[in-house]
Amino acid sequence: MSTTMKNHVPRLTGLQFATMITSGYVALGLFYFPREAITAAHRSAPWSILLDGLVTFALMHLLFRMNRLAPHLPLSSLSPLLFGRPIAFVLSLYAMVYHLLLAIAVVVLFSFVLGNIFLPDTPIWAIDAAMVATALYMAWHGTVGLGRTIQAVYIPVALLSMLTFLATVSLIRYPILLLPSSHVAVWPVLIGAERQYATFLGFELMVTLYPEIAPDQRPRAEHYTYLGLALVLTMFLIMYEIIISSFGPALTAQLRWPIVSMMRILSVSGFFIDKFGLLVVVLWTILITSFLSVRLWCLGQDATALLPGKHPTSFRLVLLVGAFIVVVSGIALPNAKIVDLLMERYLIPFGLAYLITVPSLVLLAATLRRSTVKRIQTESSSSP
Amino acid sequence: MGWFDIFRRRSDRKDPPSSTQTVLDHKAPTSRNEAIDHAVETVNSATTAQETLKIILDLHLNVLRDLISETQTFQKRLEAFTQDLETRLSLNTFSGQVDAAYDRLKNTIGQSPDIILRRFYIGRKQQIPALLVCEDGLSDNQMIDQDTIYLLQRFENVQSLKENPAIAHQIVHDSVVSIGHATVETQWSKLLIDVMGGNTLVFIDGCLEVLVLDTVKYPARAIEQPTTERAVKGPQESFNEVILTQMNLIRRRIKGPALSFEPLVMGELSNTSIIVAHVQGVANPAIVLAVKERLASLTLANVEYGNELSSVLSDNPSSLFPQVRFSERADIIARDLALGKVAILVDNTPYAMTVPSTFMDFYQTTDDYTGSFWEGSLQRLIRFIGLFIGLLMPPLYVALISVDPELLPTRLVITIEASRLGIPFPPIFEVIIMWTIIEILREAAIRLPKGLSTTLGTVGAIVVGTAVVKAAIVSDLMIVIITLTALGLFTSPVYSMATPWRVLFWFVIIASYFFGTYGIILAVVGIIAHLASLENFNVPYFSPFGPLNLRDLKDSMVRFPYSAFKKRPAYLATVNPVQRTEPQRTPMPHPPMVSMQRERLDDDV
Amino acid sequence: MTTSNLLIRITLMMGLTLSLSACWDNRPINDRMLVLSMGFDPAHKAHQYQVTFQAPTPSATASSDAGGGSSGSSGMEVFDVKGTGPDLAATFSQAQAQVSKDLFLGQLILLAISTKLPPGELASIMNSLTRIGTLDKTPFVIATNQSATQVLEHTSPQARFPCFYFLTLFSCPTCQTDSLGVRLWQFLSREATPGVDAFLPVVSTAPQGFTTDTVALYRKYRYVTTLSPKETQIFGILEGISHKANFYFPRWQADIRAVSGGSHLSTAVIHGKVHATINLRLTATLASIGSVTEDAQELSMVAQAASKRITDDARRLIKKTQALDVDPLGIGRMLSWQHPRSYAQYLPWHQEYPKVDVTVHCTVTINKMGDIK
Repeated sequence: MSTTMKNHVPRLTGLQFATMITSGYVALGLFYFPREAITAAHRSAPWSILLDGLVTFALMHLLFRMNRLAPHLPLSSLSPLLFGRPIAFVLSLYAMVYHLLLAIAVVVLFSFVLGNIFLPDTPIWAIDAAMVATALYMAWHGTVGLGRTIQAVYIPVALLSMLTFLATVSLIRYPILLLPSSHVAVWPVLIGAERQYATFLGFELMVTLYPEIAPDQRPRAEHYTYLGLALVLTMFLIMYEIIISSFGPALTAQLRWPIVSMMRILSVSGFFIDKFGLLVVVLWTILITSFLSVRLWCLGQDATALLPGKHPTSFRLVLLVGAFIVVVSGIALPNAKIVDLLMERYLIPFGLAYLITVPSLVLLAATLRRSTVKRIQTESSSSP
Repeated sequence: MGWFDIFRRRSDRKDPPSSTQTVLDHKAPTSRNEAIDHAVETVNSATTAQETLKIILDLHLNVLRDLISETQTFQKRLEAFTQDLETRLSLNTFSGQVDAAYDRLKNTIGQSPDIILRRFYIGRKQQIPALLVCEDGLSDNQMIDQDTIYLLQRFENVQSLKENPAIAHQIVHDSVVSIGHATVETQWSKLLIDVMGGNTLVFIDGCLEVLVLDTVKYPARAIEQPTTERAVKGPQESFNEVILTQMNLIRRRIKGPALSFEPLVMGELSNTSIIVAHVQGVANPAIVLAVKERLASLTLANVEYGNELSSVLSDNPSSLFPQVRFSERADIIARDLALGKVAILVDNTPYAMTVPSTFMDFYQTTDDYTGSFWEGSLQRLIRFIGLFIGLLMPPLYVALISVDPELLPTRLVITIEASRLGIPFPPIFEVIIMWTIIEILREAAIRLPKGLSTTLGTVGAIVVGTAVVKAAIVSDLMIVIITLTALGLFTSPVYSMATPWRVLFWFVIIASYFFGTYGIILAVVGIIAHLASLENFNVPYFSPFGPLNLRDLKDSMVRFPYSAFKKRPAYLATVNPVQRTEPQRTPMPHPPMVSMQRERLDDDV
Repeated sequence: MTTSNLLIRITLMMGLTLSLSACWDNRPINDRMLVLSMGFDPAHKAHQYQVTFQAPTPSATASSDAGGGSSGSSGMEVFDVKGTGPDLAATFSQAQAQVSKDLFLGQLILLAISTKLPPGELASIMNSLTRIGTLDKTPFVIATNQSATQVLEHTSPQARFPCFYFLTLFSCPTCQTDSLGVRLWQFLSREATPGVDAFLPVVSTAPQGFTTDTVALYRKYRYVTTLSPKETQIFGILEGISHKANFYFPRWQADIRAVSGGSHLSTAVIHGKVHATINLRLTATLASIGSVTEDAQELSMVAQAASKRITDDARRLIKKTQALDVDPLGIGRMLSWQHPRSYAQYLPWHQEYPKVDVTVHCTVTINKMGDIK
């Protein structure tokens, strides 16, 4: 662990990168899914979800183009060269605050889900703290350790969840609902897409993570990331279909956490644990801690780039501070409704703004300041 | 440390009169006579003092006698040293004078009864004085008596020795002694260690070189069946304590010149032989180099157990998980070497170590490879299911019974509720009580003599099985769970791998107590995060799962058929990854049949 | 390890040991009262209702060790605590005051609702139940024309607790004449979706247990009517949940059983009028026939007669529901799915439903005839 940080040789494999990115965006919108899209777009919701996927694909493409400008440099090191220090500082700060907000949102969200359905008498702070502590420990060992951990835990849980979704196919009662409505109203679909975008928020961590990929793994990392997006999108569509065809659009719009309700009605008879779906929901703790740990990791990475001296101690210090802030803010937010509002009003617009603005700005600046970019690139090729 | 320093230390220990020490300190290197004069003076004064004291007080007579004999010994030793010093200008080199060597040895290591000093003459007619030194019990008497002394004493051509004293050792080596392995040495510091290791020294008068005859033969345990890693099929040889046997067992399995044994000596007191073994052209040289560097960087007074080295061989020595695999099975070590690992053999430790080891290595056994891949895979799966059950059953019990009963089917909840009727303790205390009993039984069964441990097992089974339940301390379901746990945790083929789980078990139990299944999941994620963060020699510990590696996954939870193992494990980054090429299968032509066979096979009626 | 370090560790260990006594959600099942069934009855006062919480007695759970077989005559197997109040929370506190353990709803299996319960109260109950975190939406809901408590207190020799009777009954859809089991989420889904009305199986006590062969129809939590067993059979066929329906034809002295099959509903709007078509493709088993050995012609006549009978009965049933203005088949729902814009014109649906023109097409195929030729 210490060697990885001291020598700082990027060693992440393509699959690890893709898993980390994927784990960085699924968790937030998972529990509300597909309420927002259905509320706004009714049975046209699949179009909203697909639109979200397409937008994400486009933004990922943009971000990768930005990353390829100087693959060895994180944005925090590249932006001062392009924009000058003050703007770069603001950008960095924005990213850090945003990571922190996402982390807080996901912690609050999941602890309310757990506190509501699973651990009604356990204080929320304890649920929060346990979750954050685990995420902190995951991020503690640096990039490679985190990558490996997420790879080892995330992929099995994702596979299990997929199998579970496929098992819920038996609940489908009305196949007619599987088809999206033929009457597509553009505006509701757009609104639905915007509100549902929480599902895809968070993949901007690729900006920070990209330089950590082993150079020979970069093309593979990009492919796997797109593949991950395709898988996620497919899974979300399957989930949507199952939920809508068993609950119907009207009930789905009423449920607070439709997907949790969906999983809870899934039971396996003749097994030690018959509420198997609920067990899977608890297993999603892994998705949440992964999300949280990559957020904390990003925070640590961005902050150490600003702080003088780049060694494990300052990274860990930032992690600790970040984790503390997340726990405290998590306790401060009183209920799930507030998080709902915060997410709709601030997180989604601010996140989208960041995702669209930053790569566009960087790419624009890069075309304007070709010589600088060229210099950085030659530096990178001379000292890989 | 030079010879002179050792000498000084020795004189410290022997507690000679302080005056002698000062004499030695200041005068020894300068003048011989002066030193002897001083010694004689000291002896004389001591004798006078003895006589005086004898008159005054009888009580200290024995003490004084000791003192005097010590001083006399010391004087002789000093004489021998000075003689060496005079001829070769070094205290550490043999002077070529057998008498001086005898004096020196007699008064140093010769004091202890297991060192044999034997003076004799070479040749029947003309005679040259010689001295033979050996360690009683560590060297082969027959080799010394018949192959050395007997032949030397009957040597005819002594004249040649007398004429060429400088190459006398060569003549004796070439044409007299009939011992396979003989070397030559002049340094006392090395000679002494050679003797202690069971070699025989032959000092020839006038010859500056000392013959070191390899007569090492000491009582050693036979090559027995492995007791800690038993296998149903497969070889039944385990290492014994002798490093040479260990090397032999490996060499027999890898006969090529590529197998390299690099000797090291560690331990200032113990001078323990250590062998770093690897297969050249397979093992990654960086790892081999790192192993040697790390071992060289360690300074120890005494190497008693191989485990003392494991701290430098692991990157995270404080981790619960073992990162160095110990095995007493020669076949496992040879297999690891062939895969590209580095093995470390330590004298007197019947377990060889291999690095770098991954988590998965601790779940691989001989039996996985001696049977069909179905067999191997089944065993592996069972082992992991055992681990899963062992680690998670009691925490799940606590979680499902106390925190999340809604996950259980109603009928099961009611059954469990009934079985717990009248039990005053919460589930976690049931687990604690039962697990403590199991651990005590386990510890006792290991330490007790074999005959008693069977009795203990029976007693334990009765106590645990019936009495505890009858006393309504724990529920009967708990007995089932804890038995499965105790068995499950020991399905790990390597004993050292059971320990981390036995500790982490408590961690998971406590997590499940507070947070139920949520806690268990967090705890397991924490454990996996720890496993994934471990690295040894830059090899990820959680290898085929941590950095997901499809090639290595073939030999993890299940074992693929041999034809799938075309390459060596990726995590070892071997020099030559290919280890197997499968032939192209061509259908076998039908053999021509003789008429008899045709009749017998004619079964189409 | 320094002394301070050691002290910290010791303190931690002690804290841990102390906290092990009991905390948060850690409450062993013996300290929880497993509520297996809940019954809802109207109270004497207006806008109030009575809730019965039923849990097994400790002695009853202990006898479960013996296995499944239970005589049923051992007296107290379950005990009820009751609470009356205007909302669920109030009744819950009243009930909690009467028991020594924590009332735990995570293992709830059965909700029994009296048909006499006013719609406002039922709606409030359902809303409260949905919000209880530990309660998932899988309990079975039954209606009864008797009092819910009475049903819950009735014992059956077939199962130890009443709820287990229904668990077994509803868990096997193909074991019943019609798989009438309705889970809470299914009920809620029907109540929430416009254009469809809910139904619940009606349970009445019988000397050897319970009878479940009728359904109660609800319109927005308001009890409308209970169908007769014959009507329920047709309803089951129309819903596609029939498994063991049977019909007798005196003309041939023929009996067909196991009438089951798919039901396909489609809607169309023609000249401003909603048309609904229900296609039934059923299979049946010949149970007996007067001529002992049937011929092909006879068989097809029986099949045709069965188709006609079912079609007629179905029309009659649909007419009845239209008269009552309750749409348990979900014709409005189907319209909203197939023609959302047209559906929007017909709101509120309950004014439109009685005017819908419903056509039923039914084909019965007798595909199994037993071992007698």
